[in-house]
Amino acid sequence: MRRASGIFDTSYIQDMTIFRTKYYSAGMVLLILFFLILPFFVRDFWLAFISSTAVTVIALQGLNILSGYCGQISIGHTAFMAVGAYSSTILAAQFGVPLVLCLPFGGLGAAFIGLLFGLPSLRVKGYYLALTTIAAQYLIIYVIKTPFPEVTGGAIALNVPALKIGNFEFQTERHFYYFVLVMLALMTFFAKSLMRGHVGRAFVAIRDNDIASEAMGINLYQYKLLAFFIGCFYAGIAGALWAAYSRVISPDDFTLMGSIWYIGMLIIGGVGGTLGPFSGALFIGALREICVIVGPYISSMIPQIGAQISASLVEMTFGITIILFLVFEPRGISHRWEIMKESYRLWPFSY
Amino acid sequence: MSAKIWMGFILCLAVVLCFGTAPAAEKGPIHFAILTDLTGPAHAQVSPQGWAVEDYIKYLDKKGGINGHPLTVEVIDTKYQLPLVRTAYTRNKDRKHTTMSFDALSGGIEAMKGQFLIDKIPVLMITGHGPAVYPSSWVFGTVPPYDDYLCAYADWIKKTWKEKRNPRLALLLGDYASGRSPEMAKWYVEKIGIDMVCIEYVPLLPTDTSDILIRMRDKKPDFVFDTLMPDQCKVVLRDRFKLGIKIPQANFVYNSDLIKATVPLEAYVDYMGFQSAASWWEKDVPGVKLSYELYKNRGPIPVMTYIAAVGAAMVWVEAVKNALNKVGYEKVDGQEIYNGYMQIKNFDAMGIFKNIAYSPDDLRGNKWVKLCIFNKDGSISPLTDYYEAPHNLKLKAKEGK
Repeated sequence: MRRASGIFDTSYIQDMTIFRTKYYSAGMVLLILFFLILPFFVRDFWLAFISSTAVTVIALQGLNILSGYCGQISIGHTAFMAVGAYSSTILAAQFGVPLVLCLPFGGLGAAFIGLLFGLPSLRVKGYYLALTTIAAQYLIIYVIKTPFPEVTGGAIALNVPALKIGNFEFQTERHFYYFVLVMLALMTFFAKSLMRGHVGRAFVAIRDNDIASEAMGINLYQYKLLAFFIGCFYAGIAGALWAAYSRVISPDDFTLMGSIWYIGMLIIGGVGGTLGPFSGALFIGALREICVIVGPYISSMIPQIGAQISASLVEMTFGITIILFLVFEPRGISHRWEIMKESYRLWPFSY
Repeated sequence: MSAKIWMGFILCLAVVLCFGTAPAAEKGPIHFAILTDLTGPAHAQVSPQGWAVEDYIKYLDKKGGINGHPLTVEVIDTKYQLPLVRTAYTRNKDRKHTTMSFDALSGGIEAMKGQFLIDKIPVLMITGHGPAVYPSSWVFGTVPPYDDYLCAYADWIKKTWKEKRNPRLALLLGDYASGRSPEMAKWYVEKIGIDMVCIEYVPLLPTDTSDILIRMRDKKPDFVFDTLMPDQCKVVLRDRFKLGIKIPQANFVYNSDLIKATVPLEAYVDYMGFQSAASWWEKDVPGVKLSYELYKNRGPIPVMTYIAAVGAAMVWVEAVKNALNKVGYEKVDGQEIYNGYMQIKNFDAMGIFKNIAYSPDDLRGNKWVKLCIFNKDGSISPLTDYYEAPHNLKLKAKEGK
């Protein structure tokens, strides 16, 4: 852990503290205040954007634990989100359990299914493991679509009961914004804490060299499966939140393309740190929205080209931006942020 | 001053007042936001619909707008992604004098349906997804839902079937929400005495469908109904031709005109499609003529979905015009546009539709379909006149299914 000049950790407690200086704590308080009062000053569009980005960040935190920390590649992350979304919804709709209580069950459902698909990780790794998780993507979506349409809604859609706490119903963008931000804070705190303990260190050891880590006494089977369990738990919670937010779910919401995008977001944000999922989801989410907004402007400024060509142009720009980003900052936005912080701390010295 | 001078002065004043140079009060604009998939896996079918609405609104604006109000149009590419649909909707819902159409993924419109009701925002849907319009909400259709097409096809089979045994029907469904929605009409098909022998699913972007078609052929169906979009349709037709399958097959919308350049003509033998709007070969229909004119910068012949969407845009404009006429520009809001839709009865959109009419318990708008067939020489001719497609979900609810 790097500290600002003149700050020394003299105990383990200080070493483990997340907000080590009063500036960090004050910054965090200001950030919380900012997000608390934000809905009173912005339109619903911004709240919808933040809410859907927050759900994505929760899912990415799970993928980060699984792939970023533990090195187990998963290309079926949206399928595990689907398990969370469908299991929480079915529990709420068919058995009358309040949806808010179903959220953790959605997470657990996804975690156990993830555990099942994590079993091959005990024998295979790298590309081979990636292929087994693609199988999860196809199998899970098939099970949702085909054998039990009366329970899952099949390929059409499944209505999700309203999210309520007591008599209070989460109806507006503002309501859901607060709820999802609280969930995001809790899940991020848990991820951060987990990664700073022995579990996190074991995950990193497995990622860096699994044979060496086994020689050091780390139980590979236990920790790889634990990574799948926790990573998929996060995906399940994100899926359940998405279901509660959108009120209707269908298999079209959980595609292989979505899973690939999640990996892309993680790479762009930076793997192996809790900041990476935030940066990646925000960058890609904002870039998508900018493309969607800029397209009609281009077509209104140059009416001859029409909406189709401008949509295609922004789509190309989107791809080129990502390529350039990966070429010039392959370690992700969070790494760039760290460099900026270091430069600020050392200024005016160059080292 | 003499009386003549006074008379001359009054006359000049009258002329100035009537045709004077004082500028007229500028009328406020009306903004049309089109949420559609210009890119993404469904774009081949959906994007011509977005172009059509864009072209028509721009054309109408050049012609003087609605009651003199200028029109602006924004085509928002939602890329078949629900989060983008949601943010595009929230970005537009609070804008004054803005009205929206929705032509993106079917699961998306179903997900947003409840929100439209809460926000009191009427939304025009250019595609036909059953659960979006029934139970009634604030979503207005202009084509029958896809499950209703299957009911209509079943009615036609029953009417034309001569043998004593029950006819056998197979479904080839696109593997996504709208593609699989005709499964909701399975009960109707069985109820009227047609045996459903198999249901096969075709992926969104297939490369080879031989295995699916062989499985289907082995069940010996007499008829096939499909919900394939152009990118799927061309692969299925190619493989069907390759395997020598000649079972009469009907598509839920007539999209074969989108793909005919990519498949040999022989592959179309016995291939039928439903029309719920006039199409490019009906050039004497005024709405089709207008579509040709609007389409000329894009290509020589507008595809059928383009023409249907020009008709849908006319319906949309009619609803806004009704609202403007009733309450005036300043008071136009979601509720008034909703009322404007409800006022629409017997509207044919320059002959593009047979009849558009809305009522609180039927927001499909259009319930009329006709079946047409692709001929060996590449021409298309009607097999039936327009007939009424049963309202599947409503009937299903009535029967308690």
